[in-house]
Order: sequence, then structure tokens, then C-alpha cells
Amino acid sequence: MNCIEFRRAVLADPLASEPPLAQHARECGACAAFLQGQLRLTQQLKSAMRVAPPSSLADRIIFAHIARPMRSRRLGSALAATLAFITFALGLVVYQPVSLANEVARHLEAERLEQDRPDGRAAAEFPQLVAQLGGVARAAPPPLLQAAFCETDGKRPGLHLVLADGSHTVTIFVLPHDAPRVRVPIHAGALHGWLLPRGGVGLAVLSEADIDPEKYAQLMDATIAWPRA
Amino acid sequence: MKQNRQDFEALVRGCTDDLYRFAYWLAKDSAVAEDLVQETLLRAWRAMDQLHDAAKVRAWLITTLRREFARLHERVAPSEMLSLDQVEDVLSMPEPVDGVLEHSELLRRVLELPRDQREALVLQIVFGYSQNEIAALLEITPSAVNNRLFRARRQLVSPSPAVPQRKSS
Repeated sequence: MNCIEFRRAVLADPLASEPPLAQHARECGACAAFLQGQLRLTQQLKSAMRVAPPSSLADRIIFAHIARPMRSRRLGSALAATLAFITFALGLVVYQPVSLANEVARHLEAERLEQDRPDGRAAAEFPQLVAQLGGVARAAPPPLLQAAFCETDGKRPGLHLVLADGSHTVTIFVLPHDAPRVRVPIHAGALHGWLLPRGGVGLAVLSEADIDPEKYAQLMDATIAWPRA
Repeated sequence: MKQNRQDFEALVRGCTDDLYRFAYWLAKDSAVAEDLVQETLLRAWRAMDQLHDAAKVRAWLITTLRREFARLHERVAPSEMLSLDQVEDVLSMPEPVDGVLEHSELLRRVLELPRDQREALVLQIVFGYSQNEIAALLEITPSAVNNRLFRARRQLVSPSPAVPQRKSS
């Protein structure tokens, strides 16, 4: 083995201990010094290259391993929960006005006022009835056929009115304390119309004819003020 | 190989430190190294069924990490062959002397090594792999490994380039 072969072998692996290497190192002082220098360099490198990993790295990786499937499970649970909440919220939103409309409809069917028989006292009693429910009558809604203070089977107080409008009559039931969350259709016998929220109160407008509930809602706005609404 | 949480924890705790050191010297960035180690272990765990020899886990992880690094950060540089002139240089290489290379200076020089040389050096110094093992890991010939180690050690002990002196007017 000559010096070049020796040094090439040492550079490839200073820790190699084949007999020809050891023999050359014994015979060549320069190569022996070269070998010692490379061994020292190797020791220095071992020390220098032994960088310390962050102490929490293993824990973070294990957590990531656990969290990945958990994330997908959590996502599924979150979606299910969101769906359930939306269904529940929608249920609440829809259920409340439908339930209220049914309650008003039952009352209107059970206590249907005489549609065609004008009550001469209706206009005179109107302000008092309104006041009884906490409102202020600005004027009697002309022409008022019937007016009564009523209570539904759910113990909700209301103002039951029947108006004449040309060839047909319109039944209005005002719920001063119970506004529906959304507008819903309402049917009571031959009457049909809408239960709608109006300035914090519930307003059912029905007729045997097809009518525009907005027109009567505006009429009621002009006729009654509900300070608590 | 049975895959459960305890096995994964054992794998992570047994290999994270070595993998991190390899990744650090490969990427020269601790944050990148951490990401590489995590991604390597998670990816390797999903493919653990492909490993039939448990004794080769570490080498397999190193290979996975190298591929992950190449995929994310760079292409593997082609290996270079040692020229005859460079072989002759071994006779004129300066000998490192204790205290000549400070710890920080040595670190700087290792970081300045080309990636292929640094990689071979880390596998030899930190992992204690033989030339043949390094060759198998890097998918190159043993002579190419020798070439890289020779170049690396030569650069580590070569004198620093002289700082140009400013002439006073």
C-alpha cells in the first residue's frame, strides 16, 4: 500500500482498521500523522454534528398522529352538530308561527263572529277593547262590523275584529303579545289568509276572498298603536 | 407489522432524534428539519406494511426523509466523479490540528459543504454507517461515496480563503 492508497482509504473511513492500513501507518510517519489528524477531525465532527433536537418534537409528532384522525372525526361530529342545530333552529322558527296560527285558527273556528251582522256598539267599544290589550286606538277601522276581546285556547289575549270591505268581509285577529317569527298561512273553516308579524304584534288577516294582507296590516297600523311593541 | 398507537410512539421516540439530526444537516434549517421529521414519520407509518425487515427501519426512514426533502425542496444533485488531480491532492492536504478548528468554525464549514457531501458525512459521522451502507442508502456506488467523503474532509480542513486586505491610500 502506498501513501495515496492509504490516505484515500483513511479519508473514506478514518476508523477502518484493515491490516495493510495499520502496517502503512507504522512505516510512514507522515501518513500516521495524517491518520491522527483525521481521527481528531472525526471526533470533532461527532461532537459538532450531534445537534440537539427540540425536546417536544417527538410529543408533537405523536400528537399530530393522534390529531389527524381525530380532526376528521371532529369534523364529522361538528358537521352533524351543526346540521342538528340548523334543523332544531329551523324547527323552532317554523314551529312557533305554525303553532300560533293553528291556535288562532281554532279560536276563529270556535268563536266565529257573526260576519254579516253588524254590531252597532263595535265602533264605540273599539277604543276600550284596544286599551284592555295595552294599545291605543287612533281611530275605529271603518267599517267595523264586529269587535271583541278574546282569548285563545292557549290563553293568549287577542282582539277579534270583522271588517266589511266591499262585497266581502275580512276577519282580523290581533295578538298584542305574540308575534310569529315568520309569516305563515292560516286556515279557519272557509276563511284563509296569513298570520304575520307586524311591529312586534301578531296579526292574522283572513277572508273567504283572496285578499292582500298587507293592505289590512297597514290599516291596523294606522288605527292602533301598541306602545309595548 | 402491527400498527397501533403504542407502536407508533415507540417508533417516534426511538427514531426522532437521529432523523432530526439527519434532516437538520440536510436542510440546514431547524424548522424545515422538524417538518421533515414529522412528515417522514407520519408518511412512513402509513406505509409501514411495506417494511418486512424491522431491523432496517432506520435506513428506511432515512430514505423516506431524503425523498420527502427532494420532493419538497430540491432535486438530488448528480454525483460527481473524483478527478486524478484531486486524488493527488490527498498528499498535500493540510492536517487538522487540535484547537485549529473551533467548534463554531467547524459547524460553519459543515453547513457550507455541498448537500451531497454533507449528506454522506452525516451518515458516516452521526449514524456510523459504512461506505457500502451509505452507498445503498444514497443509491450510489461505494466509490461515489468515497468521492463525496474525500471532498468533504478536504474542504473542512482547507484554509479559509484569505480576506482581501484594503490598501491604505
